[in-house]
Amino acid sequence: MLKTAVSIVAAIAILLTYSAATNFSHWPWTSSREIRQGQVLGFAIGQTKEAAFRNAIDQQHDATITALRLLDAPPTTYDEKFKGFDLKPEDLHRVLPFDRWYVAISGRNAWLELTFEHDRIARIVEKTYRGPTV
Amino acid sequence: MNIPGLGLIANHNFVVTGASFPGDPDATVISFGMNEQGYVGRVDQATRGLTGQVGAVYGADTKAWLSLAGSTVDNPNLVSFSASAESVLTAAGSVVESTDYALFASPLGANSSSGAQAVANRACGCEVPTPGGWRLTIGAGSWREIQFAPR
Repeated sequence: MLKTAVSIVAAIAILLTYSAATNFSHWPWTSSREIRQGQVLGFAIGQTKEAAFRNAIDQQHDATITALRLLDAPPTTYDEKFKGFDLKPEDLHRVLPFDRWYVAISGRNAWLELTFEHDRIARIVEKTYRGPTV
Repeated sequence: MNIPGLGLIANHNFVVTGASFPGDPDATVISFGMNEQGYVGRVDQATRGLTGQVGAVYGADTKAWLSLAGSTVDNPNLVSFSASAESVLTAAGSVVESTDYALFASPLGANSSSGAQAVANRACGCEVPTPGGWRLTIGAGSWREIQFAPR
């Protein structure tokens, strides 16, 4: 088989299949914790976007977070999307226009949702998944 | 694959390209699902899954693909189609992630299997048969809901 010529559509059981029969003891599986003051992973209430972005770079460098995504960016293609895997200082201009950031946390089924108002973090919600894993 | 529960009757589809054989670890697994914004999109290891587990869909698809090592393409859960890796990757990357996600795809939205089917069809330039034998693949028939950016 030529490597470049073979593409495959594969089918597996839907994801919820694994989960549905497993365990609902932690339902709802995703819990939320809103932070009204202080900080989480260096993201602090009142922090500017620029400072938050610098922190994201540091946290990614330390492997504490995996990616930063923009929740209020207009829909686009995956190729054009800001995937936030390898954050660099020059990416700042790409994130500045947006006020809702998603930060995937490494090693845990958890993420942060940061909401900015007037260039400062106004709300941090930490969401943690506690359900069955696949 | 025979997975207990609903998996006996329903499928989730994904696309693999650049494979020399089933389960090839060097192949590229292309997964679709609900992106962070609630739309059908390509999902990766950082995407919050439908249930909330981060990277769940991509991880499960990759695991499923790797588990096929040692099997043959003569498998009702696989359909190979003629398309270059480049065309598959281009199609996958040009899906406009603006279609509302609906687990049970309908006129109200599409799902992961809609995305996979649309990409396969686009790359092939044909309508690729949906794998999975007699089991339902909810959403595959909604592939027309998926929009692509102009080339």
